[in-house]
Amino acid sequence: MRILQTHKSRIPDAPATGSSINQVDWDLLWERFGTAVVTITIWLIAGLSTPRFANVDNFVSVLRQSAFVGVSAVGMTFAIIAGTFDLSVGSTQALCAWGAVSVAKVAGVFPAFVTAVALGGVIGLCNGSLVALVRIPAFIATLGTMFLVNGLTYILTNGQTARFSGKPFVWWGNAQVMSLPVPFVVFLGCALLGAAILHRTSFGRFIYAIGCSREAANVAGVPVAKTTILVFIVVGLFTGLGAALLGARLYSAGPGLEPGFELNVIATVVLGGTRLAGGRGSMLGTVAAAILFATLANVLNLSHVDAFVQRVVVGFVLLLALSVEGVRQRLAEYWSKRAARIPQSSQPL
Amino acid sequence: MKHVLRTSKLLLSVTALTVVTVISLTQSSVAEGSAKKKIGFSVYDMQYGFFQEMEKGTREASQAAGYDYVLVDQKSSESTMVSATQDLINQGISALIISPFKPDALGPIVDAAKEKKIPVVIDDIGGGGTDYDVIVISDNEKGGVLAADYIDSVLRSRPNNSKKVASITCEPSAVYAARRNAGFETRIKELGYQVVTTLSGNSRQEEGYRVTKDILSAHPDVAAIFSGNDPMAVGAAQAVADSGKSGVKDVLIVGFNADEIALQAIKAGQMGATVQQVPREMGKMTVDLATKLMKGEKPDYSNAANREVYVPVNLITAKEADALLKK
Repeated sequence: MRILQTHKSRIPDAPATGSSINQVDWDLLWERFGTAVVTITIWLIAGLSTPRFANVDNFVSVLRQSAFVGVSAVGMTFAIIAGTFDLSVGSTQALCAWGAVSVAKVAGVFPAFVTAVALGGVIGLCNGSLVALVRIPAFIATLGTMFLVNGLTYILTNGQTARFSGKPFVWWGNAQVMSLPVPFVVFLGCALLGAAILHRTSFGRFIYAIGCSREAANVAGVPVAKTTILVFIVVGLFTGLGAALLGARLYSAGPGLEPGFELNVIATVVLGGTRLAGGRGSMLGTVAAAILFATLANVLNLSHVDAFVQRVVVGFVLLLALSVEGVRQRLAEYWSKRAARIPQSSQPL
Repeated sequence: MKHVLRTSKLLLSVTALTVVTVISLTQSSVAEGSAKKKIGFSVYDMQYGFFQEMEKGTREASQAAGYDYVLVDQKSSESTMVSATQDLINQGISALIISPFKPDALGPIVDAAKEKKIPVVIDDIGGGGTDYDVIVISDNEKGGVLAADYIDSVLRSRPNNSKKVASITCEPSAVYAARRNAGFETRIKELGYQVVTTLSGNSRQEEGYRVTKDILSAHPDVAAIFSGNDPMAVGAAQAVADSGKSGVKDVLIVGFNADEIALQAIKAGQMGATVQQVPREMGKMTVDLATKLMKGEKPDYSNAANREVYVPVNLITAKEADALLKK
């Protein structure tokens, strides 16, 4: 089970070795807190440069907006740590949100959320089975379900939007508790739950193990297929929950709810410091990245950036998000090389 | 673990610092406050020429009236429509103008605006059954009347034409587009014609083609066809041409929208005319209405029951089509 230790063993124990070299593992620190620090820095800059940014209403809407991508990103963090990903979350979101709104209209809030989460879970089960049992690569399998679910949604909805503005339902998307928007509170709850599962259960350890090395995990007796299926189900469940919240926010849902949603979710997770190749990642990063993206969209609107330029900026940030990992790895290599050099040079002394 | 702990402390202090800065900034921004009124426009999608024109009209009218003007783009996304418009409302605008991508999702926006006592002017598409103040739309019914008058003026000059015409409608859910056909049918009957059939082409070109084929085989002597939009009109023109007839001389075809495909077809002599909507004028109208609403005055509704205000439309024949294409 050595592979399970690699992650933890990177944390320097910092015993008093008498060495004057600062042994802080910057790579790990960046992975854990980098995005949070960047987010706070951006808030500071935005607060100073954009007059309308620093007011309570605006913070509330930024946090609210972060939740809709965020809840799904909590699930996606599981998938990406396990070394896989799910492209079907955008279609799943539209179907689940439509399901939630339609059910809320006839049966009330609780059945609506159950429907959305269950629909998400079923799609996740399909994805997981295709990847783990039929052995279709995740890219192709989830691309397939993306089209399938999207088409299905158009057939079921007949291209029309479902609308429902019952107060108990839209409360979940629009209200505030203790001046925090409800979807954001749900998002934080999901992230805490996700972190607990990742770090406190054997399922969580299996996910890290599979992400580090599938073969090694298999040899070590990790139930790879079962874990993979469960991971996709988790993605579906969280996406379903996020979709129900979005349906409540919009008072409505239909096909084509949020174009490019799946890429926003994946970008959020990667920007949050989770390694796209799997094996490493944290929930804190995902939460911070979700807030960061929502802040970015908000600041662009507030500073009246031209609509076309906004597209460029968002594309640029997506690229940046995806190159952060590579740059970080290069930095890590540099640091470890440097660390390796120093004892050598100190040997003659 | 010490280092992680130390970083957490650092992080906490940074957060605290942020909070302090933010609070002080909030105070100052509240103190500042400007006297100039601000108009916020949330546009459907700036990728489309129609909405670029609408935005131009809105911006020019806002600036001419001395307002600050703020724009957000919904980028054809329901979710962005609500979040971006919420950003607009949070900026302290005095009036909201919106051309909604999905009228069904207008609920949270209108509720948020009403909470801040901001008037809501909707530009085209639909009101989604919400509590908006006024909606600006093209005078669709008048467009149908213009088409009927044009058809009559052309057919009158021909010696032995039949008095039979047909009408093709958009998809059933497009309530505003349905008024085009209603206006056309009422007027053409007044002029002494017979509407032999009204069929839906679901707003699509290929269905426009198909229903026209049906019309031609059931009523070979039909003299004119009015279509609720241009794609269906172009489909109809193709069907007429495939039957070895002319869309101008034998079966006069008139569309609606002044889409480029239709202008090309008119120029090529495949169909007679189309009716043009003027998004720029619609944009101007929304600002005039916002001004009235901000003063607490009531707009002059064209249809008070649905809080609608109509913007005039133009008839486009071969001459105008040529000029429009050159633009």
